[in-house]
Amino acid sequence: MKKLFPFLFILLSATAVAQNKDYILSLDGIGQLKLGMPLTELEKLLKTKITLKVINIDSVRLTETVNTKYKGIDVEINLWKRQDNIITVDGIKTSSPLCKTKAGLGIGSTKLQIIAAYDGYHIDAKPVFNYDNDKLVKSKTMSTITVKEDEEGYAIIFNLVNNKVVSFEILPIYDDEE
Amino acid sequence: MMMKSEKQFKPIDMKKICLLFSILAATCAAAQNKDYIVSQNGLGSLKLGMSQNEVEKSLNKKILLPNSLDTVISNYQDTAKLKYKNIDVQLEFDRSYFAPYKFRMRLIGIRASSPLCKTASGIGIGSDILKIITGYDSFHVKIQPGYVTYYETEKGKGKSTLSILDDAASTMDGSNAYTMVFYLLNKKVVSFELKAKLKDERE
Repeated sequence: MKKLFPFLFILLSATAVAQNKDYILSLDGIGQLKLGMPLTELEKLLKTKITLKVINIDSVRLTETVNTKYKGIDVEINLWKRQDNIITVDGIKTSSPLCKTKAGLGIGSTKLQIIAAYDGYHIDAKPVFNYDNDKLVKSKTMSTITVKEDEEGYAIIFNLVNNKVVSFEILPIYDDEE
Repeated sequence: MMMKSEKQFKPIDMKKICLLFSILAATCAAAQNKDYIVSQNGLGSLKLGMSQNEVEKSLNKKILLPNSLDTVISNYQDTAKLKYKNIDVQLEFDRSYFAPYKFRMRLIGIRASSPLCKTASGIGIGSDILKIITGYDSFHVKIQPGYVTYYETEKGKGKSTLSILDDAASTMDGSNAYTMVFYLLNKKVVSFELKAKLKDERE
């Protein structure tokens, strides 16, 4: 019995570490779920077949959003059909409390914690504006913080309500899209 | 008699004079502070959007802007380094056409690094990055590594640029838009710039 306890403890610790790695939020994805990943690889990772309802059906539209599960958490994945006809992951969104950055930022983290954690990065913290009768109105509670390594490239967007994170998005941002 | 009357009024006079002096000193200090108040649309009486003429009147000084006389390349912008209320400032002007082929130069940028300049909430040279972020909580805040200007980015250890955009600058809704830019070294303000993107006068 005495020998069994340390073994069980090591096993549980190893499982916990592996699980945490699955949910690490970074500029290029969540765990093994990465931006730019081809659909075939995504299906292998998720162990599920993704049925496309737009891409390859509507010849004009090249993007599609699918809701699925990754390691037990709900994720929204944007797909994009590239010029070489390969369909890849172009955006990931989740609001799971299991997902955290290496520095421990996750659901409930504050604006100041995010700014302090990403010293030397490009940070854009702005209130959300919504249209009300054709007029832009600034939200009193909703805001976003975009973190990028460079002016253009992969980014994490933290969505906040009352200055606390409620969800994240990981996507590529280029100048003409900002 | 005169001596007697002088002696009688002296304590009261002194008190009155002291009071008057303190009011005068306080008024002067307040007026001086107002001259250096940094806001999104200007520094003291120097307001973004002013014409070259208005700036000259305010400074009681003629400003030379050679680019405004250039008819070959038609440079749109020009910069002048001068004094405003005894502090060094760099002013940036932009051509603004108000009628066909008629333009005036308008003030679109003010840059300074004087410790006298402060926002109404006391943010100035030496202020910490977190004080600015919390002071402008409801505004659009942009933080970039290096010193970012219109034309280039000066990279360097500890250098960063923090911009506070007003709602018009954030949404780019077409109205006059103002941005307050703080240049920081090791997260402390070392200089600032006030910038405006002004509506076309012909609209």
